[in-house]
Amino acid sequence: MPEDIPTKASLAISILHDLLEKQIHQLIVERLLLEKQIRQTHHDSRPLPAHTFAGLSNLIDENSMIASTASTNNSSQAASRANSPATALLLNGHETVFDENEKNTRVVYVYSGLGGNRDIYGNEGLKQADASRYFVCSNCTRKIAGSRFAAHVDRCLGGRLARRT
Amino acid sequence: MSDSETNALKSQIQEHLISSGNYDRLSKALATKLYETGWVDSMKQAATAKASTMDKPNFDELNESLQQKGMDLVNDTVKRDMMALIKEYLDGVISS
Repeated sequence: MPEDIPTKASLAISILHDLLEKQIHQLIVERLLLEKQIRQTHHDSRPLPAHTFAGLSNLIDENSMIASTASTNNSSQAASRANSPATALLLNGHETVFDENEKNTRVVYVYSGLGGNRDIYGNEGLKQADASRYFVCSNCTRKIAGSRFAAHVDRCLGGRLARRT
Repeated sequence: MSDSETNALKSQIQEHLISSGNYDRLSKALATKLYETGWVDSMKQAATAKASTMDKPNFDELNESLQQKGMDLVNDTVKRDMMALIKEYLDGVISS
């Protein structure tokens, strides 16, 4: 019967469907691997849902306030903050951010200055202190330590501190 | 034409599509168009959001929830352009 013979249109649709499926699968695999990598980096702590990232910087500021509040042993304020849907402070100093309204509690550990040497994305190995880094002066091409760089440039380019010969 | 003959024809066309290099060409063309129309960004966002809510992210569950959304999000222009490219290929392969 004529309708059994695949038309060019139906073949084209089938091929397009396969191509799209391939794109979708590739994308899913990529995201899946990224998610697993993130979870391994944070030692099984699960990241916040995407919609909460917008307020993450506010939550970090709020956590700083909680840390200072807790440190002054103002337990009533700390308790009320801890019961808020946004944040809670753990005794070991790490800050826990969770959304109580969600069935699956999602936890991210923010090491912002309280301990560890990670940035807010969980990347380790922050840049070395500027004093121990060397910078090359483009005027005399010498390597100068970071802490001396400003003074050197001032002298090198004949600024106020340069010796007059 | 029976089902088996139809399937055999489809398999033949698919084999030729891959061996002739047209599958890669069409795939790259599609990927470019999907990037340009923002489909990739939307899908990445959706996949990340979905994966982050799962206790144990796995491919099957993600695919089940995102496959249809991915198909629906494709721009009509992209579909039209790709269909034109595929029909051009088929015209060269299948004698009418």
